[in-house]
Order: sequence, then C-alpha cells, then structure tokens
Amino acid sequence: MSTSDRIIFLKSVNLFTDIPDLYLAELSDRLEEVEVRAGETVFEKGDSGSCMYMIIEGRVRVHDGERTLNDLLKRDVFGEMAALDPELRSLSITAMEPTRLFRLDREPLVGLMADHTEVALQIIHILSQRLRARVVDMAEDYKYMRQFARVTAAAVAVEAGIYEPESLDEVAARTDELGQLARVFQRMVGEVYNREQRLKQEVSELRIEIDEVKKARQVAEITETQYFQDLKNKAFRLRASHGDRDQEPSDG
Amino acid sequence: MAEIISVHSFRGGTGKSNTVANLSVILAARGLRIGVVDTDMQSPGIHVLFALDEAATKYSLNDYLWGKCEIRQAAYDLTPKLEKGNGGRIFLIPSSIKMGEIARVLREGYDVGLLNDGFHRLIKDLSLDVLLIDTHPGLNEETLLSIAISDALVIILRPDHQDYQGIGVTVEVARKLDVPRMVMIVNKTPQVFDPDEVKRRVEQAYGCPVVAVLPHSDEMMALASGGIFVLRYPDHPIAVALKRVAAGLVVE
Repeated sequence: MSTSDRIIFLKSVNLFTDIPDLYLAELSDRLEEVEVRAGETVFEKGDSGSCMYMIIEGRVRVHDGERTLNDLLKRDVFGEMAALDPELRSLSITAMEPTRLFRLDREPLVGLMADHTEVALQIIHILSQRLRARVVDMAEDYKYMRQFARVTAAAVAVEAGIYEPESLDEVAARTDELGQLARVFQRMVGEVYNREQRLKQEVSELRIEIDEVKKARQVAEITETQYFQDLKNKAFRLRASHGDRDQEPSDG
Repeated sequence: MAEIISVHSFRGGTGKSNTVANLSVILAARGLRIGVVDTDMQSPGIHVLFALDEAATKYSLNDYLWGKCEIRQAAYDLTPKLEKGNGGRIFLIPSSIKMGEIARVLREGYDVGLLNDGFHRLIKDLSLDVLLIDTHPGLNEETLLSIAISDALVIILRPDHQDYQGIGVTVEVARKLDVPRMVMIVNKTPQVFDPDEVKRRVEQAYGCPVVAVLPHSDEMMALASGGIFVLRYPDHPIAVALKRVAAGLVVE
C-alpha cells in the first residue's frame, strides 16, 4: 500500500481523523501490515503487548474464552489501550475470516504524541468519549440489574403472599427481554392467583350430597330387621344397666 | 356411673383407632379408669398403637366370644407403658390378630349378645369409668349393639372421602337407637379446606355437632402406628383439640 493510501486509510480511522496529514505521513511509515487466517488468534487475554491494530479488511471477534463480546470490522481499532499504557491484554482477538491488519507499535505513537500536543489532545478526546459512553453503559447496566432484582423480589413476594402486580409495572414497560420476562411473570402470577381463588371457592364448598330417598331405604333395610327392633327395645335398659357399677361391688 | 363411648367411622382409613387410642390416654391422664375394646375384629389394629406385646397376649376378645375365657382375662393393663401416677388406668381388650381366628369371625360370626354381657362385665370387674369401643366400619350387628348401649357416639369422617351417604345412614340409625349424645370429628382435613366452613357444612348436612375439624398432620402421618400422638406431641394443635373433645365426651 502506498504512503498516500496509508494516509487516507489512517484518516478513515476515527482515532486519527482530525490529525493533520503531515503527522499521519510520519506514522504511516511505521505501520506494519499483518495478515491473519480465519480462526487465527491475533492475541490472547493475558498476553503482554504494547501495540495497537487497525483492521484494513476482514472481521475479528473480541472474546473472553468462549464468550463473544463484540465483532470488529474494517477501520475498527483494537489493542490501543496496551499501546498507550502497556498492560496485559484484557481480552482475546481472533480473526473470523481472512483479515488484514495494520500494526502500530507504542514507540512511534507515543513519540508522535510527545512531539505534537494537538495529536495527544485528539487521542485523549477520543478516549474520553469512549470512557463517557462506558459510564453511560454502566449506568444502564446498573438500572438493568436493579430492575432485574425487582423481578426476583416479586418472586419472593409471591411466595410470601404479599406480591403486588404494580411493583413490576416499570420493569414491564421495558422493550427488551427483561421487560418481556416481567410481563410474562405478571400474567402468570395473575393466572395462578385466579386459579387458586377458584380452587378455594370449590373446596370451601364441600359438597355433601345425600340422596334422601335412597337413605330412607337404606335406613329401613337396617331398622326393619328383627334384630334391630329387639335392640331398640332393649337399648334403654342396656344403657341403664351399665351405670350401676357403684351399686354392685366388683366380684373380680 | 360408667360411660360407654363408641367411636365409629363408616369406612376404614379415617383414623378411628388412632382417635380411640389418643382419647383413652387423655382420659386416663385425668385419673379415669379406661377400658378400650377393639371390636374391629375383621381388621384389628389398635394393639399396634399401644405396642401391645403379641407374644404375651394369651387371650383376646375372640377367645371370650368363643367361650374360652372370661372377658377380664383378655384385658391387658397398659398403664405401666403410658403415663402413671395420677390413678388413671388403661385396659385394652384386643381382637385376635391370628389369621385363622379372623377368618373364623368372618365365617362363623359369634353371639353378639355375649359382647353386651362382656362390656358390662368389664365395667364391673375393672371398675371402669369409661369404656371406649373401637367399632368395625359399616353397620353390622356388633356395631349396632355398640351404638345401642353407648351413652355417646363419636362418628369420624374425612372430608375427602365420598362416603356422605353412608354417614347419613349411620346418623339416622343411631338416632333411632336414641343415643343420648352423638358428635362428629372431621379428621385428616386437607389444608385446602376451610375448617369453619367444613364444620358448618357437615353440621348442616347431618344435624349433628362437629366437635373438631382436625387437619391432616405430617407429624401424625410420620408417627403412623408407631405410638400415641398426644404423648409424643402434647402441645400440638391436634392434641389440644382432642383434649377438648375428650372433656366434652365425659360427664364428670
């Protein structure tokens, strides 16, 4: 790639957009072109490194082990933090397709920033913007977590019998998956509650059904026997007779 | 004056024998002399609750009815196994658990009149205050006799057993035998039922006072036939309710 092509490319990368061509020309000589195959790792989390990369073409995956955090495409930058402040790599980068990269080492980048204050300010400006966006993300994450906790609190409340559906209205208004979870939860609890109420009504109405005609016949079948008639005639006397133990001394 | 109390259920599985055993222990704890007769000769069970040593059981109710012994000889003093020191006593007259003798009861029956003589003999010989009769489910002749000579009849039912018709017949027949006091215990009530509502409905259906609506109890299930509930859990709500029932049954 010619120097002018490299300068044009650098200007398309947002970290360098507002830096004068003159300085970019200095940098462009220090870029090293790297090619990676699909599936090849550029660096891994925990590696030491002091260079940054820009994607000329292709696509890479930013990941932490199996978990993918982001995909980066043409003109995206990665590894710039290590270039400015050498530390171990915080995430891994793997090419998802044949990818061409420019590598820029720490030394020329820092040199350029030391020589030209406006370059340093521009880079700080870009990094500050990213940091601000991250703070907004974190606030959003915090709100998400708080609302998620509302759903779990609601589950506990259901168990304790003190659940109030309104407690989830705010979460249910979200348009994302958490909002959907809250809406499904509200609906299901409502259904269970209604079912329970119906069941309660049913069981409290313990139905004791007695067929009186059949009962009269069944009673007659017993009471019309000779045995029963004799028993009934004797019942009073039988009861009276066992009350006399105090009168008759025990003979045992 | 001795009092005869029959405990009956239209069907098995209501906790009848368990109730008899617990009532006898409660009454004995009040210093009364209690006789417990197991007339459920086709499926005897109460001896297990009292942990009666089968090997030491020479005579049973069956032997008395077949003229092999005096009724006193089939009475076993359980007092040493239970609580003591207040003058109360419990005598158990078990039914035979020998398969041959159970078969003979089914095949040949016995002179029901002898049962009546035996009850009165027992009251006299053992100076009993209360004779508790654990009846056979259904309405056969010995059950009718037990009801006829009883001063009080306790009918036990379960709200989840659909034997309302049979209970209705029992209540009606008992009325015709002029039982002075007839009460009901609703036992093993599942939690889904409202006890007050159950009491109201049962009283309305049978015109008979419900003296306790006892909940289904995991503790009682766990204890099963392994002992006397009120001795193991004297402060349990079921034990408290049974004590109230016992107080209402015996006129002192």
